[in-house]
Amino acid sequence: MSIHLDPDKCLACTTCVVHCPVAEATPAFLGPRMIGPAFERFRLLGIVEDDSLQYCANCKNCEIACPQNVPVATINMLARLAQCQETPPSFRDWIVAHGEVLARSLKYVPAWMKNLGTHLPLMRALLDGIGIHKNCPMPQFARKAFRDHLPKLSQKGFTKSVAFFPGCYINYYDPGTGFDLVWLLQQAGYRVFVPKAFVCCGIPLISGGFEKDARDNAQRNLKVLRELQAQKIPVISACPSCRLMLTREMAEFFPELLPEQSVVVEDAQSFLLKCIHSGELAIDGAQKTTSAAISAIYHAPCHLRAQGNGLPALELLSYFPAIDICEANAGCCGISGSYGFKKEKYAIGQAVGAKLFQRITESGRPLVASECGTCRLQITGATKKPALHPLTLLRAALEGRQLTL
Amino acid sequence: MQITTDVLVIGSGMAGLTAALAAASKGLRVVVAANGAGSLAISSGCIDLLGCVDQEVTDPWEAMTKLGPDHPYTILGSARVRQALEAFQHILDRHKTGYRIAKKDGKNVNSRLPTILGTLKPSYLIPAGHDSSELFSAKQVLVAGVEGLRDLSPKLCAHELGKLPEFQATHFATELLPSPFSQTHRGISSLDLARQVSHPKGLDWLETCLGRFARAYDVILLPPILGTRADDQLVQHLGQKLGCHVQELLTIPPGVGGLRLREVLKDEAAAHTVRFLENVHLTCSSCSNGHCHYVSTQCEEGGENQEELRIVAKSFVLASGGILGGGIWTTPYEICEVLFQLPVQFQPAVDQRTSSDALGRHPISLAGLACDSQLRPIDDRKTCCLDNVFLAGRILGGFDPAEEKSGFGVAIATGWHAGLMAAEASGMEARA
Repeated sequence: MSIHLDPDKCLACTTCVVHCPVAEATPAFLGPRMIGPAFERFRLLGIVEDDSLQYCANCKNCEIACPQNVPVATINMLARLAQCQETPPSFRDWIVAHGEVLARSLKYVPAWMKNLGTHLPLMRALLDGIGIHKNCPMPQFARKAFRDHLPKLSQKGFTKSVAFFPGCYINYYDPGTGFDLVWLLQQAGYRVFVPKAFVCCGIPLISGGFEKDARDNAQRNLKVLRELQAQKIPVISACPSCRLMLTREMAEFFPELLPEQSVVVEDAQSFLLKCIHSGELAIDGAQKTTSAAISAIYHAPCHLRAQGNGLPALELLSYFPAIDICEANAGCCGISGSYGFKKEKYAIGQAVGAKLFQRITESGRPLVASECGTCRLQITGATKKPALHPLTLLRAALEGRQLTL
Repeated sequence: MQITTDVLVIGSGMAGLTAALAAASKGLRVVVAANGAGSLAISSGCIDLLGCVDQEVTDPWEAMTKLGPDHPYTILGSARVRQALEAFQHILDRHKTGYRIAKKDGKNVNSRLPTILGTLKPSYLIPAGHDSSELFSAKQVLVAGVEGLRDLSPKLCAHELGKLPEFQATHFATELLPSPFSQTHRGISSLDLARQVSHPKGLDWLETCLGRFARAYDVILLPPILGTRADDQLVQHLGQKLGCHVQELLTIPPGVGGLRLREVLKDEAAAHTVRFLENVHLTCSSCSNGHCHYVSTQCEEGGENQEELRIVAKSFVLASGGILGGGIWTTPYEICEVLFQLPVQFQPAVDQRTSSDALGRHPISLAGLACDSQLRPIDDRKTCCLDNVFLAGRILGGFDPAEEKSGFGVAIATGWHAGLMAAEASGMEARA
């Protein structure tokens, strides 16, 4: 990795340090300013990497807080990619970064058998042995992956098409959200398809330090995205991290792959809002409901906040009187993709999320809403409250039904 | 995506947060859009109102009458500044922060706060931890630093304080407390220690370290390490336990106190369901006939690069900061306002922007926007440029916060007033 981002916009003001959830949780972390822009100058001099780089969770709160728009977390991740070329990452790191490869290789193993591994104490002890914390919440494989199931769905009579980038989480663990989105888009008159060549967005590969694999995935996804763009077919994502990677970070990590303009991948909620504004999605019936049937607290994922695109889910849900939703406004949940799974980071992740968990519990709301799959996993693990994608709430409101929790 | 609100506040520093709270207190829908988190969280949390007019002043309200006609305080009038400060203090009181103002002869006056360099700095509305009332009558003062905390050298601080005429009868002792971090691979900051002390284990460490000085001193001066919450509980607790007054020193960023204060203001905003949109890079505004309709992250209609975020509001508070905060952009040839391209007044020529005295007055500090009494931007013929845009904080010209020690005072006074004006304008538009 020979890319270095200019660290000189950093004024060393320490705003990122006070807003970094990891620095708050552990003094072992040098902090975003020191390990990011400040240390970058040492890297340019060829000085050996600082060990505490491993603590950066790539949650992007430094970049959100920075008044000078320094890409602090990206500087850290570029440094990690370089570091991992010198010292290959561990077996555990390979596993948590390659969820898609693993899931594909286990395709013919029934879901119950795969999930047994996340329940059996012996399996958990084994996983703990390789560095996946025995108490961390594990996602459960769905009986059938979203992408295997979607082609069987009848989608006749739609004149418009939209391509969906499902990401690994919806595909393997949470296909229900994917089908809620399909249902909603069909209501707006769209046929939904997933191009076969789409692969993992690569953000876990970047965090894990697997540059070559991340680049391969970026190349494959870009090829498809460019074709879709040429055909003027909109592409949407319902996962903030995937969208962050596809629309922002790919260009930062692999500028040579995107010499011209970046690609457009729309946020699913923003897209549906546009459908409402244009009249494609009729919501008159659902707007007449006056009693709040769904009461939830919303957690804005860090990777959504980092996009600077507002909080589309809250905007969207506010159209429906049946949904009474408040915002948690309590920062990072602490999972940061796979960070909170790791044995040596688990306690940090729990400490980071503590404020959010407390606010959710104190809210008394029976339900949590958040776009990010691993955020929901972490929240449910800590608060025991069910957590759903906002699209699931939206569908329930439009169908006028209660949610079964 | 397009969103609609009553009041949009641009910026989430001290001015923006205050404006949002003022507008929300009128029951309006308020959205805050910010690029970066402002510098509130790295500050000391002490609110300077007016510390110097040519020389250090004791009574900021009296000194306010000596300011020029272009100063934001003069434009607002001291009655409005007072109302804003009181409203702000009311919020702090409701959150039991223990913020206080020193009194002299029944009047509210500035406090003089010791810094890590052993200087005294005037400030007005101050957190409990910085209460300086005991320091000037103390006979025995301990300056305690912490191993590994390079920002504070207790010896330097004590030596410099001892030279001041105020402390000729005071004896200063120094101590270096052992670090609570068993092995550190780096220098630690006051914030690291404050976070440590906010846990029972860390508080134990501090109590044990300071325990042997109990009742030996009148005042113990510490870096700002007394927890991360904005309340006076830890100060009280330690004071009682040690039988002396415990006081925090002003330090370099991260100043801890600002972080404590920001948490309080954010919680207050959340209680009013103010919505925060972060990392928003607003680049364009749509205005016609002296009225703003919306602001946007994208300039061209249907531009292809990224999704547009467009925020439609009835009124706007522009609290995007000055040159450092990104609200104002400078080149050798011009100084301009970024979002609305509003006229910047007090523009010194490039060779006259700075003076040779580094710590003295620099003309560029005065650069910023001019405003009318409602804080709306005006041009050089004093005509209002936009009737529903209100200015707050460092984007305003005509004052020099570094020299006057007035930064947060102006931010709160103009922020509160701009928030109220925006609320009123928003209500008027709704009726029309």
